[in-house]
Amino acid sequence: MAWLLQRLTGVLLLLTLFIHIWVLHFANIGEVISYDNVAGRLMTAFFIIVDSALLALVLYHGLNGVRNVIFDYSIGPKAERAVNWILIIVGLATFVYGFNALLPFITGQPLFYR
Amino acid sequence: MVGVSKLRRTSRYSPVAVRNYQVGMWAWLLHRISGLVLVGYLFVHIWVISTVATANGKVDFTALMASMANPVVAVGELGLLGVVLFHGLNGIRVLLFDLGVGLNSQKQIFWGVIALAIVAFAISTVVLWPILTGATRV
Repeated sequence: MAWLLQRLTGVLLLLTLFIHIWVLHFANIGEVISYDNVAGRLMTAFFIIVDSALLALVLYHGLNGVRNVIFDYSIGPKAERAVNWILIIVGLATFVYGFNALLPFITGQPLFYR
Repeated sequence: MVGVSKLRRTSRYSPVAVRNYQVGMWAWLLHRISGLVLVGYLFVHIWVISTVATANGKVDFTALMASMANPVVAVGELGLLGVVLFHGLNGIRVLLFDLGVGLNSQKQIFWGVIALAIVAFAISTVVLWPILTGATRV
């Protein structure tokens, strides 16, 4: 399952990360990234969805990659369970933290200020 | 390519020792290292960009962008792009093998990945350098 999800998130990341980098750096070459441009895009459903998806996908793919690396060192079932929980908590917490930065453009203000 | 029988007789030969890596193992190792680099960058990126979630988002974001528009950060950003290009393109290579495609040409496909990454990197560097360093102001 984790193996398949790593492939699926990988494919989806090719798409969403391409959009992310293309829109910010290549779509309007010469245009410096500004708050107004970013905010303008984040007012649209398309970029809210793309950015939220990118955040979730990249956290799963990255942390599952870390898990693959750690598990390659044969740490034993007990340590593996601990690693699983730590990575799940880190992933969820980072998603909330990152999504909080998108909230000003969705609801008008973040849940918490930095 | 050395024959297996000869390798077995070479007492210190280990197929998993880095000194004996061939193309496929280098691809695997580079994929792993680039992945770990990207995870490290990911957390810094989420943290830094979240500085926009302040009461003064626009001012803070603008100051952050201005502070990053210099050649040192630009080199880092282009380096990041290089790592992303390699990891993404080699990821496609891995996916092809999962689908049973191209297994017999895995080395050539690796060099194709490297070539594509270099071309995309070179074009991006030429196009983006003036913007990333802040030389272009619109």
